[in-house]
Amino acid sequence: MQGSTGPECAKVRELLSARVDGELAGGEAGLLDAHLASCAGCRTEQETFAAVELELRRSLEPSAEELAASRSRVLSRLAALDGAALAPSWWDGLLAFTWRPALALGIAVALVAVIGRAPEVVEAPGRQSAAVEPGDGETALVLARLPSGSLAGGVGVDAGPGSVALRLDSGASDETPILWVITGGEQ
Amino acid sequence: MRDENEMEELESVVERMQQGDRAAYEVLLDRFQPSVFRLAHRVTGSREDAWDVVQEVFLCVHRRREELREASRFGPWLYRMAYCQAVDVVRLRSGKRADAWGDGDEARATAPEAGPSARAETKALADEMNRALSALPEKFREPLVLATHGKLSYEEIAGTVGCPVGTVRSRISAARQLLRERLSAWLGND
Ligand SMILES: [Zn+2]
Repeated sequence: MQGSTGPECAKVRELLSARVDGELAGGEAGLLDAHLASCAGCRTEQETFAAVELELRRSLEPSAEELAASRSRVLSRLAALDGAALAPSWWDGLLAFTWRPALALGIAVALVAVIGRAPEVVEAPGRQSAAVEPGDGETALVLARLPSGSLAGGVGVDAGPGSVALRLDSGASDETPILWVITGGEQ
Repeated sequence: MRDENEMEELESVVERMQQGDRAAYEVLLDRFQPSVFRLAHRVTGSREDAWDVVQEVFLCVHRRREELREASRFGPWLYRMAYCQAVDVVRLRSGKRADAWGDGDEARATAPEAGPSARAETKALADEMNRALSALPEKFREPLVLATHGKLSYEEIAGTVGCPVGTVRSRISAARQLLRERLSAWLGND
């Protein structure tokens, strides 16, 4: 660093840095330029600074294909999250404390009281998705215990085919989600 | 860039996204995906990791949309999440803290020999920049990356990382100085 060692020279480095970020305060630009005009060491330093900055900001541009692929992946994961968020709020209060298959069975039993016939309960650990197509007068529930321990679920009441669909995205977790599918209805 | 109309328009899109408007979310996704990718790529040094970061960040935008108090602070909020996510990815991958900046005695890559092809030299310089960046202490690297790749103002960075604007400014300058020292062998001004 040929000669760019004075106290003013040290200050100049901070000004160079602030300038590339558009952060010079009023009057500082003049100070910087005046110093650069009179200090050969700082002029050389400025060139190196510019080369470092260029390298720092050099970045690989995402391709249109990559952007499109990433976009559709984000949106489909989001759609899955929204499906999981269908659980009515009272589920949260009722079911937040503990999660085990017995509880799903308990819900199934409660369903019997409501719908008048034994519901079918399918436990599907590790499954990532379930779609239920309740028939006429049928009630269907899809519940899932997510890897985080929280519950997601969807309820469909004779709303037509495919009205309850839940797709889980376990993300990076190595714990598999457990899905319960409960269907039932009036005869 | 920081045009007032543009900022107002962005705020209204952010507010709609916060209310659950999917079209607004898609506008933000399209607009910010490239810059989040570039920032993540800068921090992780890996294309694949950068795309993973993009995924996680935009899912976080959705999940945590109610945590954003002021729509005008969407940019700082987004880029900070991107930065933190990228750092996490690097930590997970390397299994060690990312800010292990030594005092200059760790193995430095040797300066280029005379006569290597220009492409090899460019690659070597890029690699050295990646190493130099990942070796920066977090408190220097974060404001630098948020400024250069998130295009955040020093004031926005100060609000985001929680320190005075003057500190942001001096840390960013110190970060550049450390990069410059490390890369000087490639840049011919030592
Ligand atoms: Zn000087």
